[in-house]
Amino acid sequence: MKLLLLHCTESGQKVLARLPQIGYRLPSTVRTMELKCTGRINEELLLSSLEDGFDAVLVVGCHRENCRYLDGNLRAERRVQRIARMLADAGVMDKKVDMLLVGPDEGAKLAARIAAFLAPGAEPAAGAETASVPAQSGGKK
Amino acid sequence: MSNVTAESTTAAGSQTAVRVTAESRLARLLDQGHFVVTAELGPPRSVDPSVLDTKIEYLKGVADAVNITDNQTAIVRISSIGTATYLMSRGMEPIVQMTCRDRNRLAIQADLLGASLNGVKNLLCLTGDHQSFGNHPEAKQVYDIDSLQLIYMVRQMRDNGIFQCGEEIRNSKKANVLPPRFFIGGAANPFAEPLEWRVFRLEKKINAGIDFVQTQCIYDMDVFSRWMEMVVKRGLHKRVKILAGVTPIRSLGMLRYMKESVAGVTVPDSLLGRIADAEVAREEGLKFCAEQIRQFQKMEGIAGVHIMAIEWEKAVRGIVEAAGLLPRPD
Amino acid sequence: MIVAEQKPIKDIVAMIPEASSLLVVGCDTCVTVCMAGGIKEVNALTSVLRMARKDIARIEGTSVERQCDREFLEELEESVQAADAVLSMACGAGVQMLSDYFEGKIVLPALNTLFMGSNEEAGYWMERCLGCGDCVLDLTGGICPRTRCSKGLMNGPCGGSEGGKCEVDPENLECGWNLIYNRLKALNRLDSMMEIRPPQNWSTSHDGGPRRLIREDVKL
Repeated sequence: MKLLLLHCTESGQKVLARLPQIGYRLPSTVRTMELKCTGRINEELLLSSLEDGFDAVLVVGCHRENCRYLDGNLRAERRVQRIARMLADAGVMDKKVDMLLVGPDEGAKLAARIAAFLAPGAEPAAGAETASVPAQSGGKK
Repeated sequence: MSNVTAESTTAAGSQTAVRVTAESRLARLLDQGHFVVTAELGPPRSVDPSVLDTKIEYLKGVADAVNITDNQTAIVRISSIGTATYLMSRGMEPIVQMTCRDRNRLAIQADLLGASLNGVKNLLCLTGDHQSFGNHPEAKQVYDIDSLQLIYMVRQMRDNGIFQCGEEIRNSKKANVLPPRFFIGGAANPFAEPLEWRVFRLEKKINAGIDFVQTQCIYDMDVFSRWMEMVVKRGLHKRVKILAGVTPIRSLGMLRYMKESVAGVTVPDSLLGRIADAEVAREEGLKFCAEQIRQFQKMEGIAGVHIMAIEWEKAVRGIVEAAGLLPRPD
Repeated sequence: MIVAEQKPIKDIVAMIPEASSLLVVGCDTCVTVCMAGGIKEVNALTSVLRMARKDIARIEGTSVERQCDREFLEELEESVQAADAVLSMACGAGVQMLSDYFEGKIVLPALNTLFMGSNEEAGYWMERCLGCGDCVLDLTGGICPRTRCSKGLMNGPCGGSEGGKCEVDPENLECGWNLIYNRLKALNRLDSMMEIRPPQNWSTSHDGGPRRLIREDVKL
């Protein structure tokens, strides 16, 4: 299962940098793409990524009040929700988009979310910030 | 009809005496100076005469004339004219209510000819609740004409013998002009907004040609008195017969509902308190209603009372009696 | 402008018959402004349809200046000929024009056309004009009694006006006649409200039959 991670330069980049520190390595099926702010994403980017071969897109941005550009993350959230709903309403079950809001030190939360994407059915546990690091998952689904 | 100017309408309405239709009992009693009592009756939602028979029993000898609602709150019931015909066969005088929501000008005029043919003599002209309130919210609304235009049209039919299009109401060039003749009523709401406009709206309806008016149900006697003062100041009570509307309170819940959910009804907190404190809300409600009517009889400009005890017609006799208005005149 | 919104996407997905090729056509005028059928919406819908209707081999999207004018439809000739079906993201007028122009092609509406209205603020459009053919805005201080009043009264307000709101939706809907009253009061033209407006001539409205406008003075 190919996953595209669209992340911002702030919390997004920082939390990715955390991952090796907590012993988690991104599987090869996960690609990342950095943007100054998640507010830069538009519907076209999300949809064309899915059409180009990714099974899922996960947008990673700062927590509500922490966006450096004030409300870029909020706009991103709305756009992601719109596309997610369109796909669901249209009956497209094999493609997913979602957004995760994180702080720079919430590596475990991100790792859990990625794992959930790659192994659908294994939902991240509640309070994922303190969850133990999941095993790497490299297989396609 | 579309070139009728404002001047001619005010000319028709500027007379100080109320021109009444002699055949209407309601009109005659008002003319004779009696304080009249009208009541309201909601027809059943099926072809069930027993419902009507029961209500007729409650209201006979108690009300001088009875309003019959017209698909009230946009819920389908036996038509007002259909019910009126039944009531007349049982010796009661109906006031047919006609709304603008469901019929265009052709249907309205045809219904008026039919109603008149069958003996209906009183007509209340209303706008009509929006269909979204009722059980057929997907229906197409009509409102081809509004209540003002309806009043004007009915007046022109009666006094000038013409249809809305301007043609004379006669079956052929040689036949007599035989229009429907109604004692024409309108509704007034002293509590709807904009408040300062409400007196002028009554005046506008008088200019259009109403003979009598029934108000929305009153709970706030202060606001109503102020409205009446303005009405009397403009001399409107001399141009139209005003019947003050009341709805007896059955329960605190009902009063609260009216306060919060019914547009155009004002309920003062003092009344809410009075009903809340009462031992039996219903009895206090009936008491208040009778008190109101006694007050109306003393107020300048009020020619009668209109009791809207929908689905509680049984209570009307007691109220009228407590207000000192029984027996009714012949 | 004409305001429209996209039909629920599952209805659109279900509406498209079996086809090997679908063309999605947007419109750059009204429906772009109300974000229902412009090129952005065309691209998004086309993309989703490709994922939702894998049975259709080719789904492409494009847009034209206006679909209600033949001159802009000419440029579509090649792409429409190549398609089995066309999904129009224009208003009802555009869909019909497209359908007439490309007779023989299945042309489907992706939008529900709602009303003629204005953009009050970002994301909020409101009905303003009914196209009744007999404008009375000079009498009502520039506020339309047919669209702003739920009952379209000419001698309002009715008894259901409370707190400046209409009984049909007392939380959100302003009473049109209350607005007219305040406007006329501010313009010192309240006398206009005392005049009894006669019944409207509905024959200039759709009630008189489908309407046409022919201007001899500008015909070629």
